[in-house]
Amino acid sequence: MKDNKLLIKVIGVGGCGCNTVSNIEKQYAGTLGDNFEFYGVDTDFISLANQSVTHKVQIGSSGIGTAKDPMKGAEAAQKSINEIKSMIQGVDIAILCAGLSGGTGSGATGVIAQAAAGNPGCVVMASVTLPFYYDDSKKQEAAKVALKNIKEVVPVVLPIQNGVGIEDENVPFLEVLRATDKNVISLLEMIKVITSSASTVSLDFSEFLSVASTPGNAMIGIGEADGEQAVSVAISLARSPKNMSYGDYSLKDASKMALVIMGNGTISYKQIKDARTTLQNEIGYQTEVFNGLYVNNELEKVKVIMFATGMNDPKEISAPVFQTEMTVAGPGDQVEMGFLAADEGYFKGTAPAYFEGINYDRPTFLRKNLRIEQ
Amino acid sequence: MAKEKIYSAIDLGSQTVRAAIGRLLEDGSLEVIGYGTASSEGIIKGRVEDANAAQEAVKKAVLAAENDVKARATFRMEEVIASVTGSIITGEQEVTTVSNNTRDGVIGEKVLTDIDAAFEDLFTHKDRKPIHIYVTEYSVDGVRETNQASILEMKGEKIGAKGFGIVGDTAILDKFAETLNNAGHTVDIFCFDAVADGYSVLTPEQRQIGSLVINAGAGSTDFAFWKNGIIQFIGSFPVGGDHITNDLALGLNMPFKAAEELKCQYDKNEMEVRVGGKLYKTRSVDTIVQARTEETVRYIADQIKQNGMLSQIQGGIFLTGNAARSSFISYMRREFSTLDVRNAYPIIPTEAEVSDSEEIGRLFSPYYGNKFQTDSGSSTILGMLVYAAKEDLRPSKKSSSGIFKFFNLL
Repeated sequence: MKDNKLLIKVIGVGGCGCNTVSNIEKQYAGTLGDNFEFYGVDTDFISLANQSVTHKVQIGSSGIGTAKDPMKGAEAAQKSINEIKSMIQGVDIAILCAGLSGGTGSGATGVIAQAAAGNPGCVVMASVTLPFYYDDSKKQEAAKVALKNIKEVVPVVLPIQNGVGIEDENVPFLEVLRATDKNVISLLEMIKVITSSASTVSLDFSEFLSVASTPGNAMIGIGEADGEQAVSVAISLARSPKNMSYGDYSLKDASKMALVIMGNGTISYKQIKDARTTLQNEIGYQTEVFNGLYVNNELEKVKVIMFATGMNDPKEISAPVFQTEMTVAGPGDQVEMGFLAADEGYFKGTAPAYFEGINYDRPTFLRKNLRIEQ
Repeated sequence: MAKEKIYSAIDLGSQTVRAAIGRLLEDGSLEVIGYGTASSEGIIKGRVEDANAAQEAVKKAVLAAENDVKARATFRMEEVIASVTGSIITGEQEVTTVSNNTRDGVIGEKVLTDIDAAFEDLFTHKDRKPIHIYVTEYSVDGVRETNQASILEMKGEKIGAKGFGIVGDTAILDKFAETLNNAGHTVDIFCFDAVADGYSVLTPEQRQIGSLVINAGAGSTDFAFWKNGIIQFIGSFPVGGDHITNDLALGLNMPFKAAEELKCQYDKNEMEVRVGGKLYKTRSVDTIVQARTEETVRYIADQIKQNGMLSQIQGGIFLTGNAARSSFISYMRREFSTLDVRNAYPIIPTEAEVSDSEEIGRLFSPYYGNKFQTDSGSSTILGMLVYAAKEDLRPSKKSSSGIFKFFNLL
């Protein structure tokens, strides 16, 4: 954090990742504010030159790409480790975006994640795009290996499959490609709301970090609705498979969840209570939910962003090639004490003591990051 | 054979279950004739988590209390008043207006009953129901009056009232009632623990001039502000002694029961503390305990200041429950350096003192000697008995049920 200012860097790795970041910066940078910086990292000089992203870092020495070989991607990143370290210096949250169909995204993402994790207190997340169902088995297999490798160094991974959630198959192909950007857009919007909006019930940024630091598979979804049941409907939409990032993990397996509810001042206690009760009943009380209510009287509809992490026991995944065993990510170096272990102890299985958006069952020394000598 | 009113109470705490039986004498004094305790099981953070375990704990405490009475009579606790903690209640404010239809226009008891009924309706929601209702202000034809006594016998048509309701989660209250029912008791009324404390540890004058009672239980820390003889404000912070124990267990990687022992044993003046054959650094224990306690005190202090109570606390701040047995008071005194902060215990005057007062529900306990005067944990259960007696004899109280039946004692 520089000058007490939160610094979030959205880093596209490889051709697919750079496309995502260029597109998001073009569309949303103006609304997000100056806490967010956008970077493109690629081995392919020409491809990188054609990207619109503000900050560009070319890695490796050849400038001609990796021919879809992840090993070459990793080697290129290692060769340019000084440039990478300089890029991620002082960053509080690094969001890496990569496609896992090529060599740079699949190989370099893990190296960049490790470098980012070297910053004390830095939280690293990755949004990765998996091949279409119809892609060949070699591509699918390579993506599977890349995903496994990335999970070993990045605690929170948001995987999204190309083509998932597309209802109208007649939409332009480019629109389908852009649909996978929604994970990152949702995440950025959530961070922006939490860090810059006045809230009625505050979702503390440290609580968001505790969600974002919980290892395992992650999901993010957005829902928008109006009417008497707006909050309930928006939550249902946010958690519906087509609006969630991957849709194949069960929210019941989530360890933690950040829930941002935005709407105007007419949101009633009953709306919040009914929606939260329904959600908690459906996902179970083992999931620690941090919620924030952000009132903006200019909003006509209720908007909900739901970010769930720590899903370590995925159900079978619908894409045939992924019906093999999934590797569970281990804790990354950057995760602070207390964000990993079960911190409920005696209260495990009881309704969490939420109060003004904070779960007070969690020990104070963990929430305040106090070091305890054994 | 004299007819006497008997009240039974069960305080279903997260750490200890207490049962007590009180006998209201004709002069208004209340004698504690039965008292029993048992380690609580199945209650966590003020909620029933294991009904069977909770029932067994209730049975043990009740049996001990009944056995005390048996020394002099045969008695069974049937209808009871039961405690609830702040984790399941909220405070609400409402206003209402009723008409006075008497021929001569003089305000009588019926108006008070109508106001009670109106507030009963206003504080009853789909999923919550009122536990306590206090009328904090009256007006007669738009002119403000401060108390109930001043409006009686006045003339007026429209009687306005402002009410403060302490409202509980119906589902959780029902689970409490079911648990006690399965243990052989019918819950007649519920009582918020910090309200009960006010009846046992505060004098009538302290309840009049502005006093804050803070009950730090195992599952939550509850507080109630008294002024003009009634509750004006309540609050609860969902953290209690069990949270400190749990923090120690997690922070020092030890079993919960050992952590409880550590919490009770550690001494800031020693470098280390030994529990279960293992040494723990006092500094580590203190860091964990201090973080929780400071957070709790900070919340209460903010509530007091934000709700404008600070300048109104003329009687002082009274700590009960775990608060009276821990370092809580030193943090409170640091936070409220200008106020009188003290550990509080049930006021049990001597028999001579009792006879000098006309206060209904004046506690006395010749059978138990000085037992309660040093037991801060008994303030809630004894206060519940006083509350039951006062409610029973309240002029505008609707016809009493269950708990207020007459019993014959040999």
